Parts: sequence; structure tokens; C-alpha cells
Amino acid sequence: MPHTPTVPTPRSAHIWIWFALDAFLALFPPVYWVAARPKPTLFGLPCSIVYFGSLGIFITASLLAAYRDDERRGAFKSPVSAGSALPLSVPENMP
Amino acid sequence: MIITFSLIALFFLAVIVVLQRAHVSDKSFTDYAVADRSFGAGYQAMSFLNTWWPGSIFLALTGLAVSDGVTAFYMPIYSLLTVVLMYVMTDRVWHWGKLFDLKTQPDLFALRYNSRTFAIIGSVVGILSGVPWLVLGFKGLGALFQALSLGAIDATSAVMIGVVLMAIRQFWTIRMGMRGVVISDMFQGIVAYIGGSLVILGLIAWLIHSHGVGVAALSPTHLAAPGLFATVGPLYFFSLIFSGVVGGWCWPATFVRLYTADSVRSVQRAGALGAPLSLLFSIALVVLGLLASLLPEVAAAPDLAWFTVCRMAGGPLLLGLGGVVVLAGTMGNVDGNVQACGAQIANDIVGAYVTLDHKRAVLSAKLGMLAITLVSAWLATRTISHLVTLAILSYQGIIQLAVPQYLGIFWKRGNAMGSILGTVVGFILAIYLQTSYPDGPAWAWGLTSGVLALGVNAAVYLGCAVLLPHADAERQRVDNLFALTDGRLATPNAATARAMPQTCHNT
Repeated sequence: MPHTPTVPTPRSAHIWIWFALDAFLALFPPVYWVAARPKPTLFGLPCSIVYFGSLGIFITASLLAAYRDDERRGAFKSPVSAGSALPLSVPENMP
Repeated sequence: MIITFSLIALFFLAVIVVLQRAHVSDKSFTDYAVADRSFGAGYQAMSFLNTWWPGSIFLALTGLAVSDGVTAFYMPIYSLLTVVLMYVMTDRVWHWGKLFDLKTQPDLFALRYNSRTFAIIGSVVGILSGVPWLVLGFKGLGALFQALSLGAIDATSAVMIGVVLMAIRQFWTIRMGMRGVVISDMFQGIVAYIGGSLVILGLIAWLIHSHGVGVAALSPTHLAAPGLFATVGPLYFFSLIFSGVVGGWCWPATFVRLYTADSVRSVQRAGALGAPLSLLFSIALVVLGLLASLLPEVAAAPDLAWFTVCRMAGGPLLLGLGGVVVLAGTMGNVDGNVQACGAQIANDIVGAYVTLDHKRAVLSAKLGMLAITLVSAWLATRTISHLVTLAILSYQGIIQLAVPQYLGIFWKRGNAMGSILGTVVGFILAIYLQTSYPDGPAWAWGLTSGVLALGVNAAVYLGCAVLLPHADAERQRVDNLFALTDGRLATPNAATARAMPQTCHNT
């Protein structure tokens, strides 16, 4: 089969930005220093719970958006097909 | 007790029936180790969740939320970020796996760095680091059976029951290899994470309606994560999430999920399917712990919060169902770890010194799994002081594989020398710092020993990449490897990438 190389269009920039925002909002300390506090309350809920809940939804949404984007741009038309395996190439001789 | 143990027995029988009906003789070691890369997105999603969230998480996450409040949210968050990491690295890892018949994480190291030495180091680190967690998994079932017996069984007997049950379960893991693990993960995953989520949501509703509890009633300390002026340091919370994210894919049992899928699409679709379920399950579990912390019975014993709330809300029946979901999660986690260890013993340790045909490779893997199961089961029946400390140590150690793993996947210049030196230095430093400063060095602003060692590890790796650049042949080989996954090189030319290592210096 056909090892036709398929070159999909690159992943959309907005997906990469979204992934970067995922990491920034979860890992950049000043964000959680400010957001993971009891006050103020938002929609009647403590700020920390709103922050963690929203962050979880935000990250999950980025994955759904990335998958949708990959389907749309044809990223899954893989050049690798069944039966194309090659044996692992590392030399048999041990160091 | 009859009700709770009957439910456990019914679930166990159902798992065995599923496994018996699904048995297929393996055709090759690839079939045994990664199920011939045959699973679609649904199986992949459940398999990942069943490996990622062990049964003990029902106790640990609710317990953490009861005692430390919203700090417990770090687990749901890093777990979701781990899926993002999977999403971006899958393309290259899966394609290399398919093209070069990679079956384990150390196989990837061997291919990328052209170094069997580093593959063996990675394999040994993975196996040794996994054993304390396997022992904890076995021991965790002791708490389960003691709770389900409503106090009728003492702690030692409960541990023995758990060990025997889990050891019996491993017969099918050993017999069926990865195919059995993934198929049972589907059933166990549905019970643990879909059934478990329904139970959790029901318990939250019960707490709100029967006890009138709400998050507004929580104390301010329960509603704040460690911040700028926290005694544990301002970067402690960052360390928790960061080491969780980068460490997630360092575990052999987790990493091998990337090789059981039938395509990149299946892995990434599994991420898109699994993330919402993971989000719902884990966030709800933390919220349950937060609300339950307002009950005096739960606050008195945070580690048993899950069982206490189940029993209070629904008596023996709900307690039994709560036990079933814990057992389902534990089975998936233990099975995955045992299988991954066995595959690595055969493929990366024995196979590095002896040429194994299919039958001998499968036999080696089975013997390895049997040995791991027996050793872990035996250790679980012993009193081991500092077992939890040992498990934490092993975690700080195994995350040192993150540097060569991720930089090797995304960056061409890293070399075998840097990966070996960086990992060894990082591993030793992490162990030293963790044993010297069990609560973290006071001067590190909350950075944990593993994260500090990762920094040194990365510096060594980058230094070697700069000071010891690839020879021309190796540079060409690595270029070709990367070209295979970005469409610049068609598969037949992979032979170039394949052949080159044999002429290169083997570190």
C-alpha cells in the first residue's frame, strides 16, 4: 500500500494559542495566586472553584477544538498504513 | 457484608467472563505487547482512563479535598493537561511506533537516540519505580475490603483478601497480554468512571438535599490553594501540576497506550472522548470531598471519606457499589502496570542480550509479569516502613525520563550522551533531595525535588547537545526520522533512517 505521503495543512494557529493558554492559565503562578482564592464570589461561588472549574472546561474544550480542526484539515489521512512496519533499527551489538 | 461482598463477587465474575469470551491467541510479540496496534478510539479512551485513574483515587482525591480543600483540584487539572501533551506528541510517537514496530517506551529511546544503553536504563527506572505503586495498589484493596466488611475483617486479613483477588486476576493479564488488558479496561472503565461518576453525582445531590451543605459553608482555608505566601512555598502548587503533567507519560503503562491504537486519529479521538469524562469524574470527585468535609463523620477520617459517604447515603448496597467502582479502577491500573513491566522485561532487558523469537519473547514477558505479580503481592503482605515515601521517591525519579522523552520527540539535537547523563544525574539528585528534604528544600520556594532535578537534568541534556553535536551520519539519521512524520520523506525511504544506526557509533 501505498505509502503516499500526505501533507495536511498545518494545525491552525488558534489551536496552538489555545494549548499555550491552557498551560499558562494552569501553570503560571501569578494566575493561581490571584484566582485560587475564596473571594470574590462569582455567580454565588467562591472564586477558586470558578477558576478550577472553568480551567478544566477550557482545557477540555481545547482538545475538542483541536480534534475538530484535525479532522477538518485532513490530518488523519496518514502516510503510514497497515503492514508497513520495519524492525527496530538499533544495532544488535551491545555497548 | 453479604450484600457488599456479593456485589464484588458479581463484578469479578463479569470481568472474568468478558476476558474468557475475548481470548484470542497472540500471533506475534507485537500482538502480545501492544495488541497488534488494533484498538479504536473508544477502547483507547477507556484504557487510558483505567490506567491513569487508579481505584485508590476515589479515596485519595476525596480525602485530599476533605483535608486540604481546593488544592485537590490540581489532579483534575494536570490530568487534562496530560491529555493535551498526548495530543501534541502522538503524531510522531505513533508513526515511529508503526514504522519501526516499537512496542515499549524504551524502544522509542533506542530508536531516537540510537542507544540500547539508554533504553535499558529507561526500562529499569520504569520497572523499579512502578513496583512501589503496584504494592500500594495491592495494599489499597485492604482498605476496600475492610470497609466493605463493616469492621468484621481486620486490616491484615483484608489486605490478604485483596492481594489474593488481584493475584488471581493477573492470570488473565499474563495469559492474554495487552489485548486482555485493553478489553477488560473497557468494561472496568465503564464501571469505574461512568458508573463511578453517576454514584458521585448522586452523592453530591444527597449531600445538598439531605444535609443542606454547600460550598459557601466551607472555611476560607479550604477554598484557597497554596498561594504567594504559603508556608509550603509560592511555587509549590506549580510544582504539583508541572511534575504531574510531564511525569504522566514517563510511566511505561501509560506510554504504551500510544502504541495500542490503530491510528493517530484513534489516539487523538480518544483524547477528545476521554477528556470530558475525566473532567466530569475528577472535578465531581473533588466537589464531593469538599462538601463531605462539612460532615463531622467524614472530617474525622478523611482517607475513608468515600466509603463513609457511600454508607451514610445508601447503606450496604451503595457501599458495595462504591467498592465495586474502586475495585474496577484498581484492576485496570494494576493490570496495565503488570503488563507493561512484563513487556519491558522481555523486550528491553532480556531482548537486549538474547535474540528472542515470538514464542520465547512472549514466554519471557509472561514470566516477567508473573515475577512482578508475585513480588508485589508478597511485598503487599509485609509491613514495609516508608512505603509511601518510597513511592514518592520513585515518582520524583521516574519523571527524570521526561527530559529525554519530550526533547527527543520534539527536538533533533539531543543525543544519547546527554540523555544518559541527564537522566542519571537527575535521578540521583532527585533521590538525594527527596531524602534530605522530605518536605522540600526551604530555599526552593516550594519547588519539589523532582522539579529541581529536572532543571539540572535538562541543563545537562542541553549542554551535551551543544558541546557534543551529532556526527554527520547520526544527524542525517535523525533528520530522516523526523522527516518521516512531517510528510517530507515517504515511507520506503525510512530504510535510510532504519539503516543508518547500524553504521553509527552505538553509545
